[in-house]
Amino acid sequence: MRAGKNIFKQIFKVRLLYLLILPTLVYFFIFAYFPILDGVRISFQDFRFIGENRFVGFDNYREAIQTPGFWRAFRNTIILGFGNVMLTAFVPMVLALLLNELRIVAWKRFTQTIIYMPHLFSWVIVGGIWIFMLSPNVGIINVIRNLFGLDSIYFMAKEAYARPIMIGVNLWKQAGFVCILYLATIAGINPELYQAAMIDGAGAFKRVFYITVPELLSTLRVVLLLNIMGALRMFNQIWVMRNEVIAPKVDVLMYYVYERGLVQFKIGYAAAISVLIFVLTFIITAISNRFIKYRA
Amino acid sequence: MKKVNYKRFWIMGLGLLLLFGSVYLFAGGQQEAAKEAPTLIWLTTVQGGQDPEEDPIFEKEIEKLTGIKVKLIKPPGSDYETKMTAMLATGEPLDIVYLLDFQFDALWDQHLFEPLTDRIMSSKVLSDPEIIPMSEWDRIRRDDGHIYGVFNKFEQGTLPIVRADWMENLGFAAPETLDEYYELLKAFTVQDPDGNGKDDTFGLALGYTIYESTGLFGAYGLMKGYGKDAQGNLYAYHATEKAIPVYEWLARLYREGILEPSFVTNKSSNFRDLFMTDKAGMTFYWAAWVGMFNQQVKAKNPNSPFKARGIAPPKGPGGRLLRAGSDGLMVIPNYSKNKDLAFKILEFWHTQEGNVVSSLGMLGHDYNIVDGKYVIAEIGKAHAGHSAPQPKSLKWKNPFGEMEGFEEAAEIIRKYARPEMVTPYGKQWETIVRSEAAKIILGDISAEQGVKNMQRRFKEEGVYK
Repeated sequence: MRAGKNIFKQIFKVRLLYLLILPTLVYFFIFAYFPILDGVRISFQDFRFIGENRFVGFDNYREAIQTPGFWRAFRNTIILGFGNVMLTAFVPMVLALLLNELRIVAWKRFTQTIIYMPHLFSWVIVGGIWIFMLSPNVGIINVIRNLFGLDSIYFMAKEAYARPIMIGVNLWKQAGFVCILYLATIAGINPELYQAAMIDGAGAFKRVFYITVPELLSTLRVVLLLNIMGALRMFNQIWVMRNEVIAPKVDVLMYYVYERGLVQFKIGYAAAISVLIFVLTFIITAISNRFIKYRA
Repeated sequence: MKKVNYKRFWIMGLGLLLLFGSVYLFAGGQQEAAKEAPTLIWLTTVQGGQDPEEDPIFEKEIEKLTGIKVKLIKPPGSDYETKMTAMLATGEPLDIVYLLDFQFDALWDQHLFEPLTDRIMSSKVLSDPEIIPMSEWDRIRRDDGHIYGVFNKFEQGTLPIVRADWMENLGFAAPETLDEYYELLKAFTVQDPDGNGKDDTFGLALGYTIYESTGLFGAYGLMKGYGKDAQGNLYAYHATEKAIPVYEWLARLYREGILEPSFVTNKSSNFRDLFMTDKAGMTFYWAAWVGMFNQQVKAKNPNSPFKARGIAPPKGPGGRLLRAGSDGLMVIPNYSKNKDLAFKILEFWHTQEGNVVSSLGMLGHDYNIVDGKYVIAEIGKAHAGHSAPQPKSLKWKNPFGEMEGFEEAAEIIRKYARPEMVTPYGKQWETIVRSEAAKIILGDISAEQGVKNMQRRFKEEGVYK
């Protein structure tokens, strides 16, 4: 009780400073927390734009759980999310380690630029490029296959290729950015560690394995956590690259929300799924945080 | 530490509040005074200029002809549905909203729109059967007996569009049955129809919207979308056994290299380009595009032998059938404060002057009148029509004549096209039928299996009871 009084006393003492941060707090409440709370309210309603909104209890949640489409989207989100989280965390690390070994600076910068460039393109451009490259008629992949006497494959219309393509294209787009994070960490490693290892007779591979990789672990934790938080919010790539044939393998929860809410106008139902995504993201992030033992 | 003078701080804050309050009240008074001439807010993705710079010219033309000020809000077409929904949901002050019939259907039971039945029936323009027949109004009447929207234009429909010059080169007449269609399309693929000595042509180019080829399914009496059985339950025509021969026919075209293979990922611009660049001899698309194909190819190369023509769909056990376009409707939100003026604009749209604005464009910009004759301007030629290239009014006659091939195509549409039934399940239809139809055509599953899958998925989605 006394501690509480002390806090209020402290606050009152510097009340002008607290007054100054009030607009920021109001901003966050109006534009971040209020929509979340309002979304929770809508998820319990048969929502209408105008007129009375009927309270339906857990009906929207019950409908979501009983609809196969929801579980299909959920499964796709987990599979694609897991693939994206893992590959986008570890492949750029390998790239960064390889790039770090390049001795010709110009070649290193050129390679870095090439790898980073896809990150600058929007998903509309990236999706368009890959749909074209994978097309059965004029796509470069099939042109090469044809040169070797192999038949064309309509990659974007085969369910078996759908998820690997989505994960691969995401990796192609994001690898450069994550790679730069690792390279920045590598640049900060104390060179004396390498000198000491060399005196001890450690070869190049051992130096990488016993010095560079352990030093990268803190960055890896950050990358993993960021990837996990983004995994359930996948939307842009799927919206651009999906088609009806591969939809059962790639439609994710956010796309499902978009389709139900803004195409079919089932706002209450879409809000219920959004709340579920919010809760899932919260739980998965909390578990991952504990598992990864992330420390700022 | 210097002590902060809180008293001064609060007095300054109060002073500022009083100042802003006074300015706000004064501005409010000014707004009251300006209420005499309201500006209608018109949310649309089709009406107006061809580009954002032209929208103010369009708004001025409307004001000049009707005396009513309008302001267009025109989000891009790709994002229109999202923006429109958000604006309606947040109660933005809108007076006229353009939407397609299925969008209207999904929003109708939200009680957002003003019933227009009485206004339409007492309007000299809109109740004139020589302008819009009563059967057309009855078609969009809702279950409660009311009409909520006014048409934008003659929506036409999709039909088979063929390279008539290639047909002449190969000595083919217009095909009549699915078998004759097959023979023609095969000849387009293997007989070098453009005579360039290369094996570089396909018979047919389609897009991911399989439903544009309704003409093929129409041979078995199958329309896009849903019908109702004897018990009043919905069923999808394309998910019945009757559709199996058409799926098998399309799968054969794919297997034999007659169907351009990228159809699953082709957007409309892709297959339009294939047709216009001598890569495909036939496509299924909107009637207006017959004229636009000819105009665009001839504009680039006046000596091109390119000749696009619409042809009748194949005849089969179900006769011949084409799909008419979805109705684009203009509605008035029931919270609009300017309903009377908004309705005057909708009425004007179907007058002769309104038809001219909606199709030819703006006087002094898209066209001029010299000695009582219409003269098209360069910019008007490039635009080839505004929001309603073909107005709904039966009285409309284009003073410049129609584009090459359009009249015949429109006649075929009038003869064979029927509108699909509007239901809230249009999106489910597209998702399920496109997905399974594509798998059948690609040879991944049999037609029987595909139809079974469709039926199962319609049930899962709650469309089938």
